[in-house]
Amino acid sequence: MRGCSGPYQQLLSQLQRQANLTEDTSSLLEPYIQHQDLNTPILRGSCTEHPGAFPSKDALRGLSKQSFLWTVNTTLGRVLKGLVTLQKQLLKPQDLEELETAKRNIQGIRNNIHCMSWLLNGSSETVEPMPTGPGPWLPLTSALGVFQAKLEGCRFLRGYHRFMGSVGWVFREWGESPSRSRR
Amino acid sequence: QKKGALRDFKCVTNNLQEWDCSWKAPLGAGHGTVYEVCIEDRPRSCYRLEKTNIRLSALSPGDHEIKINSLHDLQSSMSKFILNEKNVSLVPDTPEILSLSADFSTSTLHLMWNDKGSVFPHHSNVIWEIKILRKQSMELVKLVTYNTTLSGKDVIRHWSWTSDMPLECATHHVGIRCYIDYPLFSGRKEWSDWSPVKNISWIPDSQTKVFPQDKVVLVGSDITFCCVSQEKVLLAQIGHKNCPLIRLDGGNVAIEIHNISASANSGTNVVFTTEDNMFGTVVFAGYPPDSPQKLNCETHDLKEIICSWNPGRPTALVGPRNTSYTLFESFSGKYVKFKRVEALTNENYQLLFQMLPNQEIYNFTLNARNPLGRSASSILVNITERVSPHTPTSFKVKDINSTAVTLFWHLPGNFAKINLLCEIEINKANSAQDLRNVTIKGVENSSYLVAVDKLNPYTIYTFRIRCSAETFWKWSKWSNEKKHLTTEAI
Repeated sequence: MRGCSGPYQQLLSQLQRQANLTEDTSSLLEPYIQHQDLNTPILRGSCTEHPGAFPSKDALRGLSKQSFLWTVNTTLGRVLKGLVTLQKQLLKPQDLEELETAKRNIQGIRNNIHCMSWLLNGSSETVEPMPTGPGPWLPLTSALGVFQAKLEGCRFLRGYHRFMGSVGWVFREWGESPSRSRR
Repeated sequence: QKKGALRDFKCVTNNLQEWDCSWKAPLGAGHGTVYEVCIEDRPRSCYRLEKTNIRLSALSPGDHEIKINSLHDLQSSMSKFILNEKNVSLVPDTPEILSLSADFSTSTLHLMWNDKGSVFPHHSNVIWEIKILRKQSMELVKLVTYNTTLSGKDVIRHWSWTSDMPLECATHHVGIRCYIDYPLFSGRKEWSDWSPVKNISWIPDSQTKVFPQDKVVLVGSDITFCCVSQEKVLLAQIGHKNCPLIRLDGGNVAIEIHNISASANSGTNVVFTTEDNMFGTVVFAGYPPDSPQKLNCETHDLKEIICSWNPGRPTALVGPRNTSYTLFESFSGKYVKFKRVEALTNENYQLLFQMLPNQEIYNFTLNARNPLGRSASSILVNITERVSPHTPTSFKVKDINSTAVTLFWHLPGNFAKINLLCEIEINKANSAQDLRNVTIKGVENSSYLVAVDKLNPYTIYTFRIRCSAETFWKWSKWSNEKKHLTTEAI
């Protein structure tokens, strides 16, 4: 497949590195908290992940490889939309350059997921789309007040980082070769 | 006081045309007392009545004797009073509020009432006193007077008041009374009674608990935030600073912020915390736009006018609250709006305005506006005197003979209506620089040529050129340099 290079192991370790990178809250959530002046114990305390916004680690671990790749790719597609919404709320895009970086990283992960999926296509696993809830979305400010939108953005990013941590965890459980199943 | 004498005789009028006179029954007078009222020097003016008040047509200026004979159980007793306008009190009717409404988004109360001007025969100044009370305990928060004129007919009056505290968080009550300041009336003038108060309360219609939401205020102003809460509010913070709580009705609380400082781009968070919950809002404290500074309009090509400016003091307001700019040209009535390119780190403020056929004089006004105010700057230009040409391009040199060459270049723009002044820089090794100015008729198709003579044969020269309008405004940049070896003399 054009643009896909490198053997399975190299692709897997690249995906693992990318997941670790995006799990780190200092890559986006912390700068967001600073920019939106949410850096008080009370506000940090309410910046919690919305239950059900992102697939849990256990749910991800229970999926076949193809389904897992499909779910991660779909969820990251929604995250990209969420980040665009967040950018609109931020008023001055250059106020939070980390957000632009995050979007590029996510695009990179999705590309590698496509490659991995193509690599695995030889394996017999079928894709069973994970039954997902509404998934991560972010209401625009106009629907909420600015304060509520700030909090929703914070909770959204909290979920995103946690989700990427779970993705990294699952990738670390994958075997050395594409055919060997994890469980 | 003589036994059987009437007491507290007084007269009041609300329209100067009729006097309501009343008295207290004599001590011991029971039911069934009949009163015979007679007004001296008024023919056939005796009235028999069983009540202790009478409505009279207003008496002419001066003293009038009035006799009241009270008849009770075959006994009678006479009381005499001197009645003079001076002893009459002008007490207007109690006003009646027609409606009290609220615009919660702006925390404004709107009051409407009928001034009952038709009751009062004369044009007269009237002073209305309006009281605003807050909370169930009806604390007086505002007492204001409002002057109008009675015009002999009923006029519906309107009055608005913007509350310092959001109207959502406390019940507000309004009452009104009036005082007719009619100078030609010699009696006492008194305030009417207060009208029955009307009140306004907010009916929660959303999850929103903190008010105002997303307000834009001037840096340095005072603002009150409040929180509608059933639970006890334990703490309120603006930014990272705790604020003393003002208890309102129920669990509602307020905080007063004085001399608010400028917000960051993302606004200043205001947070109220209860045992289990946290509610908040954001306030944007900024400045109105400065008058646009160094407004300049010029053209590179006599096709498009570029107006640029300096926004002046930052407003601390961005995004939807940013300053919007509109460039308006008054002769043509046309305008263009500034579109903010957010991605730019340092925003350059300029607008493009398409030149209009057969119009050289342009009267531009640049209007700046944000939620806190507006400003403007103007400039009147003859655009043919504001030509700042592009850099000459496609610069070429061709031989005419050993001592002369032709220079060709391209100068984007339609300069058919003006003359151009171009400066040619000629350099030759080990020789002083030669600068030659040439005036050329502008053309529409941007292509130009000029001959340069008095050169030395078989010599390497370096040429470059720049241009301006003959009515000088700015030079273009220099073109690229062109090295050229003149031909040998034959």
